[in-house]
Amino acid sequence: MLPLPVFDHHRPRTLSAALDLLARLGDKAVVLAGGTDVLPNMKHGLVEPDHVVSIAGIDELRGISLDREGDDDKLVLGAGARLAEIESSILVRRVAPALAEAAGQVGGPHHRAMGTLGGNICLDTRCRYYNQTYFWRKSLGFCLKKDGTVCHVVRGGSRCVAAASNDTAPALIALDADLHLLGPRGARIVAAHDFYVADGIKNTVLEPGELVVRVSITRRPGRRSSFEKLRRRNAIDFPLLSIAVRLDVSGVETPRVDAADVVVSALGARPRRVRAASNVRPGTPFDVAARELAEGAYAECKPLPNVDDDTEWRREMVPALVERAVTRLEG
Amino acid sequence: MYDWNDSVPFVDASGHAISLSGGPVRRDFARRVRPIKVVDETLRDGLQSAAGHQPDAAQKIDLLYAMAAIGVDVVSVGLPAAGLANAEDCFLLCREIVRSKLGLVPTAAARTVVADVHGIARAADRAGIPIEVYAFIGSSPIRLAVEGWDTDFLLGAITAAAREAKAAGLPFCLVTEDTTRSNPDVLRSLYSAAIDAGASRICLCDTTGHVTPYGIEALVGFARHTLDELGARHVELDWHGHNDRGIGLPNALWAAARGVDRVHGTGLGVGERVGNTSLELLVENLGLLGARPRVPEARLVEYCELASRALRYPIPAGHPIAGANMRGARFEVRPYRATPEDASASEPLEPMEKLVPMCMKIGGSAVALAVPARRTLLEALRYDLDLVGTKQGCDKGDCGACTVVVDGVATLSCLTLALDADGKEVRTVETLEGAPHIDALLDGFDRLGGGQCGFCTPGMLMTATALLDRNTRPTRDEIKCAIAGNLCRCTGYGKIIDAIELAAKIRRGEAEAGVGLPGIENTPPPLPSNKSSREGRQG
Amino acid sequence: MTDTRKPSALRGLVGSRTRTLLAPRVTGQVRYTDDIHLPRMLWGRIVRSPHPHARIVRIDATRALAKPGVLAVITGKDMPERFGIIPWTPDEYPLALDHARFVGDAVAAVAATDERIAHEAAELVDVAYEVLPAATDLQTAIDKPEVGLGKGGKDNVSKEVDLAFGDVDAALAESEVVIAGDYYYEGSAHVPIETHCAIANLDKNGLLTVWSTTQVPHYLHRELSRVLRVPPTRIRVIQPPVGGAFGGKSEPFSLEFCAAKLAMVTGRPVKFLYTREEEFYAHRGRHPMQIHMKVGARRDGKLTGVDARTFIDGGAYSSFGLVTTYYSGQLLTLPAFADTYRFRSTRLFTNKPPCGPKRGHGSVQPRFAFEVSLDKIARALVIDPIELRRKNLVPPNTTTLNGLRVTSNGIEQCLDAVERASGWKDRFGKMPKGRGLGVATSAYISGTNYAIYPNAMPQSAVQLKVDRSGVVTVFSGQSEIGQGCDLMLAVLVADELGLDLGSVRVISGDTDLTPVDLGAYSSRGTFMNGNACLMAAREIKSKLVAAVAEKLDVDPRNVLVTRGALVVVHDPARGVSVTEAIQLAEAKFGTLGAVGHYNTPKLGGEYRGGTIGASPAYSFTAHVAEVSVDARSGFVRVEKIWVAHDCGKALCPTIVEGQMEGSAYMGAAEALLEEHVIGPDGLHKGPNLLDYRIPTSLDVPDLHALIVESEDQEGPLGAKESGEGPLHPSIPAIANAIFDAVGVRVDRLPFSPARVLSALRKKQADEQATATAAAE
Repeated sequence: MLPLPVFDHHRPRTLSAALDLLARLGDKAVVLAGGTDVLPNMKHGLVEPDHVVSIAGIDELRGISLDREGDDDKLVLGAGARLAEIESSILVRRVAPALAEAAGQVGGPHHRAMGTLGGNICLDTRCRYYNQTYFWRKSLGFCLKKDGTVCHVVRGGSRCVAAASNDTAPALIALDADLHLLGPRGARIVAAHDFYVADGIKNTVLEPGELVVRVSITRRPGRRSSFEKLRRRNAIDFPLLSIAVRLDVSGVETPRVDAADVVVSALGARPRRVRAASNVRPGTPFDVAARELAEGAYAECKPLPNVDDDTEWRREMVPALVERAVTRLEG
Repeated sequence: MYDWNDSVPFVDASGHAISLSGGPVRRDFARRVRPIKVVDETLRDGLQSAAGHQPDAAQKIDLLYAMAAIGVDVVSVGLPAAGLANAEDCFLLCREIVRSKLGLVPTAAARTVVADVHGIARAADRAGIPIEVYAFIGSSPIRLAVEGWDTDFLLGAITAAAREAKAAGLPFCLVTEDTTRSNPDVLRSLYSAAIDAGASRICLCDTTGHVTPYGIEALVGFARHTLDELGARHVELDWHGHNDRGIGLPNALWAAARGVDRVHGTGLGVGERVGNTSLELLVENLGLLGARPRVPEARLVEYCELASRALRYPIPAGHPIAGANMRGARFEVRPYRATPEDASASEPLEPMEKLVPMCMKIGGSAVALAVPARRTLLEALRYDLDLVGTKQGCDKGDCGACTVVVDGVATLSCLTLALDADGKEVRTVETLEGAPHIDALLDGFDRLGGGQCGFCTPGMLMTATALLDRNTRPTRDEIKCAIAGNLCRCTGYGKIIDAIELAAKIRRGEAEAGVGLPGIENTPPPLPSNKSSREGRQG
Repeated sequence: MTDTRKPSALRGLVGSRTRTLLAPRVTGQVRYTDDIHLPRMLWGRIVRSPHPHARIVRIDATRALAKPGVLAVITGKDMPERFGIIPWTPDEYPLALDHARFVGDAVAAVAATDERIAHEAAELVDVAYEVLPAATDLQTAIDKPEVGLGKGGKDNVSKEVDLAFGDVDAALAESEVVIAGDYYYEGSAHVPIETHCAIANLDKNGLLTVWSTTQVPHYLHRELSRVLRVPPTRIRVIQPPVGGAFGGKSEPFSLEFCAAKLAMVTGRPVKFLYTREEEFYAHRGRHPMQIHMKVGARRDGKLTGVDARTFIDGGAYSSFGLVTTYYSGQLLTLPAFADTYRFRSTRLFTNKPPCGPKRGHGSVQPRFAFEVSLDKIARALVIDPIELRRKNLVPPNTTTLNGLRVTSNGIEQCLDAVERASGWKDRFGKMPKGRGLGVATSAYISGTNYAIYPNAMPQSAVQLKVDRSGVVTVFSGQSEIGQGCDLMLAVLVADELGLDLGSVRVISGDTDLTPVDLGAYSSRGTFMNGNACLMAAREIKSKLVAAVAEKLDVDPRNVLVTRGALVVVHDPARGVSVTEAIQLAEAKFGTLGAVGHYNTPKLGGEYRGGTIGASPAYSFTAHVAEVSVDARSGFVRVEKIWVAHDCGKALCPTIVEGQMEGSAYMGAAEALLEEHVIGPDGLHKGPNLLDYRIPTSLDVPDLHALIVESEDQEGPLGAKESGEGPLHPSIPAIANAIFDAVGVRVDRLPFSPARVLSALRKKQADEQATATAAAE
């Protein structure tokens, strides 16, 4: 087996107890929810905490509901909601279909039953030179994300380009979701788009001791969304490419696209919002929108050989997936 | 054998006890309140040692392990302010202490200058462990004259340095060089200033090898008395002596007997003009005097050899522990053969890792065990409970062979900490009923060839159990999706899906169970007395 | 087919769908190797080389030994004895003595009281290396002989085979069409779900017992004795049930020697369990092969000549390499072949994990090149690909071009079966764009005449113990690795002696308890072990019949064995229960027991290497694959595979179907997903089950197994192999189906979406070019 390092285990019953504990332990502690990302990384010697704080049992973090705030309906998901719950939730499929589709394509059925929304949001970035055993990485000479000073993807590069590989991130960004964080410096709300930064070593703005507590998505009339994932197998694999599309549609007989948002991920550390989507003119027919968005995405997305070396093919797949995601929304 | 070490003080004709310490030396050690700690200064940079060779990082780490092996308590990890390489080595040593849990307290030397203390603080942050600051300053009249310092300058420097250490949360020790030739009043003022500024330790030094046991008796008495006066009983005393008059070791033993808390030494006595107190002899003698646990001979030999190789300082032939003349007496140590197991008999006998008690419900019965925190549920089942039906295929969630059902949910037991299953119901393949009332899934797999080598089958069975518990009539596609996380290399999945379909029918009563089970026709009827228990058993 | 007409009492278990009785094995009641924990057991861990090619300068274990809990460290010097599965190429050490030859090569081993400490101690063993120039891919090994991995260090050659039958050049010269092509078959790994594991224990009398996940307990027993310099009488090898092997556990490995040595040094049991990563370093998987093949044919489709030049990437050590090099050509001459044949194969050493036998051992790669060539010829001559094969079939009871004796041969029924089942006649070539059908055939050995170490003793043996309680125990040296040989023996014995499965026990794979069987490789289980078992069972049966005949005062010829009883042929009411028959026989003949054995007749061509490929019988297979190709993404989805396999006689139909489906599935996985790739720095691209992908339940075609029975004269009740044969046609059938679907030839494995898409793009570009050229 792959032994875990030695650490102390903590299982706080309530959110406040967890936050106090994390504040006290600082960066010597690691948060454990589903364990499907942290534990493999610990077994690879990528994370060597002195303390593990298990928050899977905190009920306050569970739950999926539709709350009314002012005149908006807000879909609220607890960070502890299991991905399998999100995948099969009627509410999520109605209000944020892209999120339900994304959650439904994470890893395999067991990963979705154990993994949480918060855990997926905070998924460590991935790279085939990083997610390997200690022996393998030592033979490689390590990489600048862990234990080393050299990047093997970009020769002579000084910035880590490990890829954001969490399927829910592009969906949350495209749906303008808000992430509710709670930490030693109190509560704050960060838009999903601003939550991620272009640094492969740590690609979120989360501070030590801070937790993602809830996610809220405002329901917009006429809003449709979809998610496409590129992988070689139909289960277990991480994405080679993932694309979330959000369209604001009007017109009943001949639906027209008035606004769009396309987010492409698994390229670099930060999911990329395609600029072309922002200048879609209101009233664009679906086929025109599909072509424009596909070409725009193709022009802006240049995959790196970080998760795979079929970069040419992955780039070819960007327009194909965008087109499929958009046409599916014509409905 | 008459041991003069243990003898009662010799009484002269007039009944006046003639004994240097007024009693047997051993009794002094026995009376100690706090146990004696040993400080290894071998790795302090700038030892001005005759050899003057700076060992590389790997050799320094080797020595760290050898020190831990012979029970050293405190280790100097260098003088970070001496240069970038020194600071880096200092960090590497501290990280090794942290990572391998060596149980050594690191200290670092510094001049009583704020910048030096700041350098140590940075190294401590990077390594994630507090490093004690040993700040040294000349205190004898000769030194003051030579340097042109006056007492006020000393007080100012010491206070500033001590405050900086306090701010960085690091323990501070004032090291007054050449204490054995310093004026008591000067010492008293330096001590009080240091203690006021937060010092928690004073190091008495005989850097010129000037003192004798008689001087030590007086100096230690004065230091204890001064600390009592300053109400600083918590402050500890260190002894650091050199070997100029060849009595470094006895002086150190004497200082230990007279109540200092830590005594310093270096490997093979390396360092300074004619050498420090030799640490291995210090450890050996303190062991013989019962002041510390005995250290096995082989470990001391290894320490000397490693120190000799790291510092490129040949072991003198006559060295009492590792000298060539002595070696003949001992068995030939092959480099890679194991030292006999009992060699580590003297180590404290407590489990290497903290065990945490927990309880699980497995197939209807409660099971209690104690596990280290790092224990996964898979390891707990296979190693601690010998429930070896659950298999390991990749140990990181890629294959599904380790699937068990936790509170009704099909779960990867290799990615679940045992402690996170505390208080939960865990169903493993061992809980599936056997013939004659064979579990529907076992029945289906057995009849339709759902398993060939059988290694992925336990994972498949538990995944299917969770599926059929929540969906009594799954379609073939629903079955395919449910087992998509369970890799099988033999069957190609077809017959597994057929088997699960058949099991669903059997559970719905739409298909006959146990067809073709050998000897099923003559199954013994349950005993009338516990027939009710037959139905009561949840399996 | 099963004789369902007979009353159940007369209907045998052979040919019926019996249970596999696997419940105890899958519920933890029967222990696999890693399930064994012995008191005071130590954990071992191997220290591996981080360099692809290096000289070992010095090993210093001081730091490791200083760590509490570490008890011993051993290095190459402790077992300086070469070993290797092929006696003529022993080039491996249990721990590298002076050269590490690939990243992951075993260099030292530690034993500690706890698994975590063992892992950490392995990092503390300081090994000083002198890095040497490395050849980490086939082309470098060819271009740079100075790397000197071969014998004597003058080049990188491992084995060279150059065989010719008939005048190929003349035949090709007068051919109507000659298809020349370059094919690259990528390497792949076995990926059994159970990784290697070995436990060694020296009992207080000094008897060494080794439990191991091996397929060849007998060979392991011999090599342990030679390397450890311990007489074989003081060693016992036990092979618990194995969690899948596919050829990856058919030779001794470092962990078995290290466990044994450390157990002897420390006096405590020692367990080594390979992590999934180490499974990829142990490897012994499919040899990558670069094949240039020319196939000629006349206008009427008659094949004239085949000429192949093959380079084989062997990896760091020989393993089965000598045999693999022969198999890269010897088995192509069946089921449909030309009149002349020449193949020249060179196996080269590279600084990569060593390759060895994976299901189909070396004849899968050339089969892919050949069956794709046939498809190209069929297209060129506008002949239906199935008809092309029918025109060139080698008949039953003949000898092939290269001296292989063919007895029963059901290839025609196989072709008919898949043609009918797939609706080939009215669907081939007429499918909508993006969907296609492809056909391929193959043949494979049922055991080999070639015993790995030359000896005249039987290749397989079984011992029966008959107990007066009615229990019959079968002791067999054969290795149960999931292919179902234990159940096959139980069914044979039950039918011969009229028992039901409940009263037959099978003990296998224990050198103390079971007679010698050479092991589970080259698909020899059913044929050789089955025959040995029948021999023993029939000896017991004759005694039972004689005893009953005497009791009932009838002629022995009139005594019929039925399920549960021996009865008089024309008066079934008069009879004796089997248990009573056993007691009568025991009273008459004394304690009952029998030994059966099997040895192949002298086979194979009279030339060097002629015996390799010579088998007492050949199985035959035909596949039709149906694929759909998404032109936009290049994704190939195999919808269905029809597998028709001539297994002589299906003793246990459920198991035979399982082997057919499992083989076709493993072949499809190599065609579409798997690639065992080593980077230029010698590092495996992704030694884990996330980077090295095998199909999940959502990536697998519908598999339709069609059993064909050609009743072989020498096989046990007519049975032949079904474990490896059905894999071969999967890959070419899929390749040919892709061409039928979108008109592109992908002659390099795997057919990844990237590769298929670039082929499609190239085809579109060529069509444009020809269109514009035509327009001018």
